[in-house]
Amino acid sequence: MEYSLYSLPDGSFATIFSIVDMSINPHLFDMGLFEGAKIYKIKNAPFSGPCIFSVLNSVICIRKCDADKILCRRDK
Amino acid sequence: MKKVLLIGNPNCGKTSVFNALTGKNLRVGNFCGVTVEEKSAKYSFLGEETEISDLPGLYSLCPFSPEEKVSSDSFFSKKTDVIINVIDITNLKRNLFLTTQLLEEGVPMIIALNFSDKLKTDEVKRLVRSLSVFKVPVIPISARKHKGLDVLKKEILKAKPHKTICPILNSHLEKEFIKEFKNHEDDLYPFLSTSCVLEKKMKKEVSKIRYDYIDSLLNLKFPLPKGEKPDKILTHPVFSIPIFLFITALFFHLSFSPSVFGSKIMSVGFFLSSLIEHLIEYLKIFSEDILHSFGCSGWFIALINDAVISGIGSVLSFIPSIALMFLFISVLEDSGYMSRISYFSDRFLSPLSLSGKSILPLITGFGCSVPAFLGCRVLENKKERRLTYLLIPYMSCGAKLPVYAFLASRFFPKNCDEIIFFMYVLGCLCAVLSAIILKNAVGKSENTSFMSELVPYKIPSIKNVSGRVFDKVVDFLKRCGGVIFFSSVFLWLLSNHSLSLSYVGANSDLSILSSVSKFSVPVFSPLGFCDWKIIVSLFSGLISREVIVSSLKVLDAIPLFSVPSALSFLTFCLLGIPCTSACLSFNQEERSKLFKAFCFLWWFSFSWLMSFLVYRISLILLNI
Repeated sequence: MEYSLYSLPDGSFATIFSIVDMSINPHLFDMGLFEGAKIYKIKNAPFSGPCIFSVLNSVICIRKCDADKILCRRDK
Repeated sequence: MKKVLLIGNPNCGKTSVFNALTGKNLRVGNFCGVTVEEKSAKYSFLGEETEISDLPGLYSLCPFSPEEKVSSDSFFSKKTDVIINVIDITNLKRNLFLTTQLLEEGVPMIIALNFSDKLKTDEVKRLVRSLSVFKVPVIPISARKHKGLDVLKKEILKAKPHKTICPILNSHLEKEFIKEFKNHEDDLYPFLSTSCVLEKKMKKEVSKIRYDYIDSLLNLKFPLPKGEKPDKILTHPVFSIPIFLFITALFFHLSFSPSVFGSKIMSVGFFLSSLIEHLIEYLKIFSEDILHSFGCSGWFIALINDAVISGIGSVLSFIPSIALMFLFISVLEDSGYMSRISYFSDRFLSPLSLSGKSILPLITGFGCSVPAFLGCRVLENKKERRLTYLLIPYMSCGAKLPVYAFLASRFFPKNCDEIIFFMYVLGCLCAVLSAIILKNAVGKSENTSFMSELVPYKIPSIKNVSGRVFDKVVDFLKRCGGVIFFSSVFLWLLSNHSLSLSYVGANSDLSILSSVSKFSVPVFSPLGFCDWKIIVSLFSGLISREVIVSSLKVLDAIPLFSVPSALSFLTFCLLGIPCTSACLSFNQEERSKLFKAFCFLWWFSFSWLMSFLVYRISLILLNI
């Protein structure tokens, strides 16, 4: 199943397959977020607030507008 | 003398290493962006002196915010003999990303694997062996437990100024990208926008290659963190904000309330403050007796009692409140809760053209505005930075607390803590209102970006917290002995002497201060300040906010207040132009003179307007 990082269900593992828009914060690349990276979705804040996920050994939060641009496939 | 730079990712413990090596006590905290400026110190080891500099954290050598630019500029200035790349061993892969960039620059380098006490010895040894491929010394250390520091110091002495080039990628494209950043002096934000799509695509590819290289080097297998247990409650979709407000309100109640939960027990802060106030009253009586017995003149006795003892004493009694406030802020900072506040506040700040990151300097502003202005360097976007500058003075700093407590205990003795809490809330509400009004005035509309790392929680270290509280109390005492002492004496002299320099004593309407300041009365009388003494006390707050308390005492201005004018005075003190040191710090951070002039005008006019409203509304509510 394909999801955007924001719509990925809480508590699921996924692999990023595309970043559709380059307007995201470039530091995310430095932190290991690019195609092929494994992530774990923790949760979204209410009222379309930021979403929390982990990549490598860090827990990161980004806004919904950025999380919508990151597409991933849920791991089995 | 060798010059050493400490460089590494945010929150990897650089400042702890710096403190451990030099014996200094720089501020450390458990969130990204504690250090925002370069700090240097010297230490001696085996008879040789070394100068070491601590830098703000970096994820890569391409800076996106002013604080990252400080580090990047310092690294590229090549004025250093050796760099220590501090690495958080528990997050090795991400930290090595920066290492691979640093190695290519060919500066003599030592890798310090911090937090190595958190892994098993065999695991640490395996990692050290794997990293030997870089051909630079790799030293496992623990700054917290002071382990491995002597080995590190020895390696620093051994490091020779030769180049340790370790080509991994040496990407020509990436170097061009970094060069572009270095040349971009003013605003780094354009690089975050959509206009640099090509550059960003390239950066993404280069990042991927670097991580592939790190993977080929180390077989690192670790589970992805699934979030921390306290976050289930502390960042809960519904309860996160009520919990934060409850913690803050509880702190105020337990610290400043005259009766805890309606009982007869006084809160710690209130009890200690009353104790000091009583001691000062005894000291006054005692000094009067002593000075009389020595045959001192009435003028001299009035100077010592009214200016020195009353002036300084009135401020000294608030030391417990200041200590408690910094204890609270330090616990927030050291526990890791700050990054959570920034997470759950982002949704509410984004419509105001701010981001969750703005909350960090704003919360620092509850301690002191000076580091808060410096703390704005963590903000990548210029507009967001400017808007945050404008809002910082609305956060009630530690120096405003004595003013609130002083007036609240006199005019609202039963609801002292509630009035103090109300002032903090009013400051926040005014900040929101100002942001709504000003968000389009401070710069063209841009989409602000927000990315924050949620650092692991930890139990606040007693050493860090007590060290910070102690530093602040010492700083406060120094100011009592310096600026507050001199301003009290100066104000007393001006308010007790006429223009012909004769002593006027109680007849202070003939004094120099009265003659000079009574012209300002028409400007402030709509706010309820109908006497020059109130206005002078208010403006003495420009020196430092605590001076207001000593001025009110020295000028004996309390009887001139009514309840509405006291509330209006507190509002003006909360929202007015910040103190001189904060203004200097703001002046250093912002370049545009036009914007600076606008800020001062805004701070003055908005505080005037809000005080006017508070005065009028309280007049109506109290039927006066």
